[in-house]
Amino acid sequence: MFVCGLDIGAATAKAVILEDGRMLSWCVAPTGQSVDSATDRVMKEVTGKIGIGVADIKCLVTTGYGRHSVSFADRAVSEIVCHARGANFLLPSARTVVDIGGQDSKIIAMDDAGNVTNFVMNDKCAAGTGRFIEVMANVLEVPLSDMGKVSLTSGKPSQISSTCTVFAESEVVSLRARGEPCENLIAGIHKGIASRIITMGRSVGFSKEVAFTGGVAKNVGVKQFLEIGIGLQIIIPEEPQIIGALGAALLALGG
Amino acid sequence: MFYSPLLKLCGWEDEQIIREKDRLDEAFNLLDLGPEEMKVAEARVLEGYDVDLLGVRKALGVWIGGMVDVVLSKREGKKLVYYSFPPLGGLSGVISVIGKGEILCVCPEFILDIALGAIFNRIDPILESGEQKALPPGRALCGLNKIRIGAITEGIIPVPDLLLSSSFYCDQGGQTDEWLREVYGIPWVVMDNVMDSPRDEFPRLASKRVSYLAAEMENGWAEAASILGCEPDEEHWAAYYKLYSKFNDGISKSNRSMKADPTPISQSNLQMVRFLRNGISYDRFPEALRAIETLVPELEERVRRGTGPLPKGSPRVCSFLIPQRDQSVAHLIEKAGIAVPVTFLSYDAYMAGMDSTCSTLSERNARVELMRGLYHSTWAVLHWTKQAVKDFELDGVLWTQPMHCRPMSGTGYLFKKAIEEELRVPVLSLEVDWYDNRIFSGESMRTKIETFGYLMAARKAKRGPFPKGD
Repeated sequence: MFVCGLDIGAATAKAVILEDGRMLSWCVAPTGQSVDSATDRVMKEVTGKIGIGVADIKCLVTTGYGRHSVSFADRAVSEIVCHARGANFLLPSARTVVDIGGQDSKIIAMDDAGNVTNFVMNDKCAAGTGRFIEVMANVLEVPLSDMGKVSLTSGKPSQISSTCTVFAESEVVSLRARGEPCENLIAGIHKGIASRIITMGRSVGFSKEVAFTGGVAKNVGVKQFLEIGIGLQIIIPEEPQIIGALGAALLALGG
Repeated sequence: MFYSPLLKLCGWEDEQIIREKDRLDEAFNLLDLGPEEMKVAEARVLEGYDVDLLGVRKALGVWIGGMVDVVLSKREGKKLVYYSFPPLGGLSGVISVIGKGEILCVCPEFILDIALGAIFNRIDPILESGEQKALPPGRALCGLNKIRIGAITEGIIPVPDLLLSSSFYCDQGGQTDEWLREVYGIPWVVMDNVMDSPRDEFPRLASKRVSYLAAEMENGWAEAASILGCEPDEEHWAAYYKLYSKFNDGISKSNRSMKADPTPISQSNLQMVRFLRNGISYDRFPEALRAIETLVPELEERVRRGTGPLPKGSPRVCSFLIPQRDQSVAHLIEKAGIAVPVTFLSYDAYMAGMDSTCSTLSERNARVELMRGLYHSTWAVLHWTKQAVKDFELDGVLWTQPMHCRPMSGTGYLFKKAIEEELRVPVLSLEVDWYDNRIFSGESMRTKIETFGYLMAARKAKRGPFPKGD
């Protein structure tokens, strides 16, 4: 029996197909302007990879900000619940999930079965999210995928005092004009994000082990500063972007 | 009459519509509410409210009537008094009693928030006008005050003859009225103070605090009486208490029915009925009384039958209050399977601690206001919230917290920590404006509420209701 989890995020849409608890197929694609188009695209891709059709999916659970917009879904579940479930499946010893997506960030506490026991999520501000890094990458003209690598070469992260995307952008531009090395600026940006996440997570607490999910988990610079700040090792699943979709698929399975 | 279907939906009888026809025609014309707007309102009432309950429908009708009253007040030659929310010490009520038919004493922003906002979906331009006309750049202000300023400056409601403010709870109400006084020259009576009570004082009340508040009330009453040319005597106060105590009795009964599982009514619907005592004039109050007297047996019947908007066993939480601007937040909460049997504002256990040893009426009123908590301190609000959690054996607290509200802005993290540590129930602090839904992100709110519902349901399934500890 094929089941599917579909995570329609602000920046990317992700889908995972399971059969008997085994992951058969997954894919990630930009969400773009339309939830409907993104849904069509990822569903075609994820089913096409294993030669089945959408009609062969017995149960589809959606998550992410677009979860209520998919008309043929069997159920919509919040991404916080799905990230906890997905992380628990891949990393059973994890008790905290730090999820940083394109538009929001969350710190989730969970029990040994992957049930959410506490959580905190950012409100309206883009600071501490993937969007913040994206803006800074544009300002510094560094490819987004290189931001993490470049920051690791820094010996002295710049002090970026503003955590607001708008103000930080102007601060970074000013520092760059004064000759601050690019790698120090990027490291300073990552350090600022980590600091914001740690402050936000204080009300939930960080318990061993800490899993890092969402697109920003691919950024080794942010991971490094989070580990330093929290004082715990952080584990990143092989494909951190699909953890929400995986959790949704597990819920579809009844797991 | 194009408004008849809406008014009938909202509990008006044909006879009342005919009797008030000229007033309705004039008021709806002034408000630019035509046939299209009536259709929108009908759809919103059907979507947002429990119209199977005649008491709810009647209450909605009272808000519409209250809006008509305030819009026409000056044209009908009445003196007009605006008081700010929350009202203090019954003064607004007793002014209404004295000036029956001649003085209209109302909280206009409350009337507009529900009538023009929740029912007609026409409040946003007023909020925007309030921001454009009176707010210095970068200054946050509660939606209620924006509505007051916007509605007066746009000519939607008349300029009043007296502004009656209390800055005990929040200084923004007082500052709003001070601005209106400066611009329009409106007489202004303010009962002033700051909530600086020490953390460990409550539920004891320092006598200096009671006597100061009582003195502020007496001074306020005297000043208002001299401006309006009327002096309340014991008979006026007795008439006020008689009418309002009947309404409060109905409210207490409906609050008690919310202890049932399932709760017989959505808290947001009940809150709309309860708020009638905070907004409308004495002249409309008999209708409010009929609404609550209709609602109470309807709720008791639902309790007997075991029916309500959510299934039995749904997670139950306390909130401060449910945003009233429209029903979208209430629906988000209910769609996540969460029942709200009690709010801080509906929890009336403080009345049990009241005695009759007060020497003066003002002292009694001061004690009531302080014991209620709002006029005492953040710690007093926390005290009653924790008490409500225990009393109603709740599964959590869904704290709706406006960041721009001076008394409440600091409560989010503080309440979460205190309640989770002491009572071992989860707390979700939700950033909202109770009167302005342009402020927050609905999608982010939905994610939080749905997750919170899931979290509480999982806890409840594992350990049963009201966990006493891990």
